[in-house]
Amino acid sequence: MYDYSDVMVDEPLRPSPVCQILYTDEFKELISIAKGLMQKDEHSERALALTERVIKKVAAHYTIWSYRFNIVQDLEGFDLQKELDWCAQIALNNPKNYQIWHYRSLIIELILKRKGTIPLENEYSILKQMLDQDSKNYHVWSYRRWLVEKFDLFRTDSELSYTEEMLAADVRNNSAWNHRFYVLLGNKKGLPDNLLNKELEFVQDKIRLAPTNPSSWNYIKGIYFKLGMDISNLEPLATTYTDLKAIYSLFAFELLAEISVKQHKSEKAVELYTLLQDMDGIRKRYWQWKIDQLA
Amino acid sequence: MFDPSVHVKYFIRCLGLLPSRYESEDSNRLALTYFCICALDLLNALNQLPEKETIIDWIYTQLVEESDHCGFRGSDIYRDCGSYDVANLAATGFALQILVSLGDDLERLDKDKVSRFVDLCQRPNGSFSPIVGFGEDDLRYCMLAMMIKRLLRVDPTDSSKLIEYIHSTLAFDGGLSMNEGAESHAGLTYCGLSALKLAGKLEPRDWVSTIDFLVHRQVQFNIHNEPELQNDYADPDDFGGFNGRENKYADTCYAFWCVAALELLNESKLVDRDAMIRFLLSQTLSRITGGFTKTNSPDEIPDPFHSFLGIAVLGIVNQEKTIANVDVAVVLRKNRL
Repeated sequence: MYDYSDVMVDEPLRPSPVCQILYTDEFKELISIAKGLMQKDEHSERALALTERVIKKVAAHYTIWSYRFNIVQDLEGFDLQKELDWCAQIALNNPKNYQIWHYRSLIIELILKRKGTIPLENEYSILKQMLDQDSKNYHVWSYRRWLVEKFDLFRTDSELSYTEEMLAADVRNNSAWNHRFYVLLGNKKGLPDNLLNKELEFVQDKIRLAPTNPSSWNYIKGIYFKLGMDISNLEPLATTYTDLKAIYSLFAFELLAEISVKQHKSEKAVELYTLLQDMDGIRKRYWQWKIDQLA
Repeated sequence: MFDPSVHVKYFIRCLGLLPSRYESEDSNRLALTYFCICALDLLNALNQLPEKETIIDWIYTQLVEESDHCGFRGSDIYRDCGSYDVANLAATGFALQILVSLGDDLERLDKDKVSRFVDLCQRPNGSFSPIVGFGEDDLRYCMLAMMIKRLLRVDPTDSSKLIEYIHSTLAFDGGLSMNEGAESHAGLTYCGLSALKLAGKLEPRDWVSTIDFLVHRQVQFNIHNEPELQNDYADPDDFGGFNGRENKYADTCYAFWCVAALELLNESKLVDRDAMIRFLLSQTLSRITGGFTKTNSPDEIPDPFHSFLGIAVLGIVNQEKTIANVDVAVVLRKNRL
């Protein structure tokens, strides 16, 4: 343990007239040391250790991160790869600490600036561990998105097969669907025919697996929208799932209604929206609004 | 069913002493204070708050003055931190919301310097960061930046880059997201739309796919989508509540984000208000202690954030006559400005 007795400040936390937190002595001491070190902007091993304690306690402390970043840049002989390992440890033990992901991206930028290399397998490893814990962690997926952009991982096997794996485990994982969309179309306006056909088959398989799952319907519509394709082509798919006596999905009715609107078949659209008013009662006013929009 | 006095007591209690587990929230203390004070304002109970002037004076002690700009720090935790004691966009927004709620005229502030602080937080891509030159940009800070300008009654400076940025976060299913290519999210959707509204650039007819996204956040299970109950994140008791993302649990705060966002687009009537109210009152309202929990999970206790947004969304739909209406762009009691 380090000695901080020389930097501690007096009265680190003044009383306030509202939302007074009952601070423990341990917390007061921690903040007292942090203030003393930050005041001096001390860049040292003991300061680095202290930032970790503050980060674990108050992840949302908005300048402790820049302080730590300044320290690791300045410490002589400091191995930035070790800082990435540190990030991984903090993230795994504090899954709600989302600031860590932005910080990790800053460290990676710094390593690259200093002509270092980033072994992507380390990134995949920490991402996998995190998403195994919580497969819909928004900030972890955002970080993965950043990685795709930074290292141009668009349409790579690793990213595509990972989303396939995630969707095989849970076809309703909307984060995985979204990531796949970005990997395929994030940096391009078009998709070659062979890839497009493969993808349409992929999503139709997933619809077959769970016809009432909204994510896969949004995904296929998203592809059509992004590529400027005519949704009329989805009519056969939609009609497969609009048989009330067999397998059906509200999203198929919705898609069919959109196709009818597109084709100026107002009567059919009204009929479908009326059906949805009944079957999807919570959105009754919304479906009526869709009917009103036709006029 | 809804007894306002229990909730008034809850917020008064939170404004008093908070247990030590709130230490991790210390840097968000101005946020906590805003949730409680604005909730009391909506519950017509600000008169039960003693020493308003003391609170106003304390808020001003959190002001960080630089030579060319100024703004508020998140809490006392930053005081005496030298160059690391800086103004924060969120704290500045919450401080102004508190001051306005308490009837302060903001005359103690150098408005040009606060406005300058907001401008310094803007990034080349049009988005805003939480502090000058550091931190992640996202739509929350865009909303806060525009809200601060509105409360200061200064013009939103050139917003063309901001508007471009907000549009870049539009996901393929109509929701807005953290940044280009990220997953659509109801809370961020609200923030983006509110920023546009405050910049005077929200044209509802341009956002039809976003209306679709928001309306679909209201959770329904019935015989027509029964297989969806297999989803690990499905709960039949969520009926009527709102989730923030596709295939996730309903959560009190998303009722607010979705309905407020739709209200910005003049379409909040499209949701099933009765079902939403039933969900909130029967699943997340804490009848004994007051306040709202995040979800209906039995191990949760109310927190000021979800409690405030639960009250606020009931105010928007004007269900309870005991709750005042809400200005959804700045999230204050209507006509506070």
